[in-house]
Amino acid sequence: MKVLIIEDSQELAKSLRLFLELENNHVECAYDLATASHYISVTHFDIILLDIMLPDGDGRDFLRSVRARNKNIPVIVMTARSEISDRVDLLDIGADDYIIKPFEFVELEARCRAVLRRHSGQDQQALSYGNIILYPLSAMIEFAQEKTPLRNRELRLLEIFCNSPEILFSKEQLTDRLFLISDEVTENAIEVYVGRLRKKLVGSNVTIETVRGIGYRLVKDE
Amino acid sequence: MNKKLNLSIRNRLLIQLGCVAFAISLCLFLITRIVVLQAITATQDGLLTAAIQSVIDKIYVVENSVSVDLPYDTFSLLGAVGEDRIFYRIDDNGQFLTGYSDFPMPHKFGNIQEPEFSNVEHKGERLRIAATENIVFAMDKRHELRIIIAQSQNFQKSIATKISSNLILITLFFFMIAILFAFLTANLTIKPIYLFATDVKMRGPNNLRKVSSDVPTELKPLAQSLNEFISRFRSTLRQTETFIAEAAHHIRTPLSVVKSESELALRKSKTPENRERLRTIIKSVDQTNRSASQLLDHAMVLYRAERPETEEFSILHAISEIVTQFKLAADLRDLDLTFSTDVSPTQTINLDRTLFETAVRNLLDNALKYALSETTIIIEFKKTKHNFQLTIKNQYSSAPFLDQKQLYKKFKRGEQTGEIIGSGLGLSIVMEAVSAIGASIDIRKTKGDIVCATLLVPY
Repeated sequence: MKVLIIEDSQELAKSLRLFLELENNHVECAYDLATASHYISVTHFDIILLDIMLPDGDGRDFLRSVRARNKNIPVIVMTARSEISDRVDLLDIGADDYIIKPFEFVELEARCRAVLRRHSGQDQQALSYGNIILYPLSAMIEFAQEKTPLRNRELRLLEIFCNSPEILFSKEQLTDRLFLISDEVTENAIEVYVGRLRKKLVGSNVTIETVRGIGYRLVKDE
Repeated sequence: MNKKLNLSIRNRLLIQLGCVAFAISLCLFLITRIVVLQAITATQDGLLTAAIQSVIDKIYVVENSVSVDLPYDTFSLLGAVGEDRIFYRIDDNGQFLTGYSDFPMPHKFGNIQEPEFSNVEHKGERLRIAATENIVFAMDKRHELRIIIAQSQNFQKSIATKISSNLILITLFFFMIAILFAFLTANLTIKPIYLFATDVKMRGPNNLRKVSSDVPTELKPLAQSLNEFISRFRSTLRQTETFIAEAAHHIRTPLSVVKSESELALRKSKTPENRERLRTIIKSVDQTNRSASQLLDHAMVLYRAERPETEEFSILHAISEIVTQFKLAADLRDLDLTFSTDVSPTQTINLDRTLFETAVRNLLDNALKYALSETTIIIEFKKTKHNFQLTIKNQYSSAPFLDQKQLYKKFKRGEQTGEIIGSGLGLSIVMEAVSAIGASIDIRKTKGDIVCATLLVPY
């Protein structure tokens, strides 16, 4: 996924860039609107993360001009203002979503995912591995012609595994991606969700394997 | 014991007007009584004058002597009224001629047209005397006739008593009417002060609008002073609010950097000690951010309560929008949000939308924060006889006791908040916003560890 970050705080932009790159995204940073305009005129981005207060103008004007140019790029506005009227204004001028600073990567990730889902069809979003098909938009898993609903965290956990099958994830990595820092997470929280998913995967040809002392991975049954 | 008598202006006015009314009533009574007595005396004097004239008419000169043919019919007429007693005496050149010889002679005598009147006490009775001196000649002899007619004053006294009684009743009636008017006047005089006081008293704690200048001239200096004070206070408050708002705004961007960097470090960190430290840093950032956000919200609510901007909007649409906004936050915590309503989207309400939304947002935020994971937050919105009713129910693992006195206090957090991040301002913001829009809020624990918040918005 190609992401454009338009943010005047270079430190924040750098952190976001590093985080998104860790998630296998390609990221460009623009510290002002002129650079941002140049970037979107020469290349395509899957999503834009836009700050409002920028040194050479207002991010909202930039958003308006993007929409006026008929560019249907998903835009998430990063705002320091939390009033609902501000949010409503942002949505009215064409933002797909907004996120209030400071935010957690988990939340940013979730909002990006939700916006991207809205922009593309459900079929394109289906993830498959082995004989399972995961539908993130409807929070369903399908195998043996049977669909099973998933709760949000189960869905996100399976999404992590399906996006990187056979890759080993430590308990900490999964905790960081599944829970907000502000959530009260119990010692065995990951085991609980892995256990639930295992139950829901019974009958399929994939399973979540525990690598003792290291973590978990999604593998096909032999 | 220097206790100062602190009478209200109304009572002072009432006492002053009452005293004036009493003095006027008393004067009126006395003056009227005097006039009435004078009228009665004048009437009696008139009668006595007529009697004297009728006596004089009956004086004859025969040869060298004077004879009087007494007009008994006149005397009996005088005596018949009120059974008064009549005394008369006629002296000729100082010699007793006829009448009551023991009747004392007055010192002064008038003429036929204007007899001399005086009052004397005779035989235990108070008498009115008319005395006149008349000179006749008989055979060149000069006869100086002194005629006295006296009448007791029983009739006059009884009339005076009757009139006085009536006068007392009339005066009392007048006094009562005067007191009534004094009461009305005192109330009418005080009314603008009461209206003025009510205008100030009925204001919400954050209503710092100017008091109405439509007050009587005498109250204008007070209203002006109060408005100047409000203006100075508002200016100070606004400076504080602006400072808080700007401070909160300027804190957020560096906080974002701290949080992002810490999160990145957390993701790369392998040792449990470092991870714990980083989590603590991030939680502190969240706590700071939450406090800043709520201070910003609080400043905004205070500002809007002072200057509400009412608008007509679809209440269902506003609530639905907020619920939608919280959907992702609920998903992230594995919570379900259900929203049911019987209110039509075309149903509008006229109030300050920002205040209303702030109240609902904070209530929902609270519900999300404290709800037990993997439970459902139930949001119901309906229209009752007088109100729109929004109910938010969320389940706790073990719902705390909700102390209604402490619940809405600033920086007070409830029991069992544990490690849940919060500033203790959320419900106080809700209360301020709710009071400013004339709505009411009730939060209580119900069966099955469910906490139910009910917001009633009158329409």
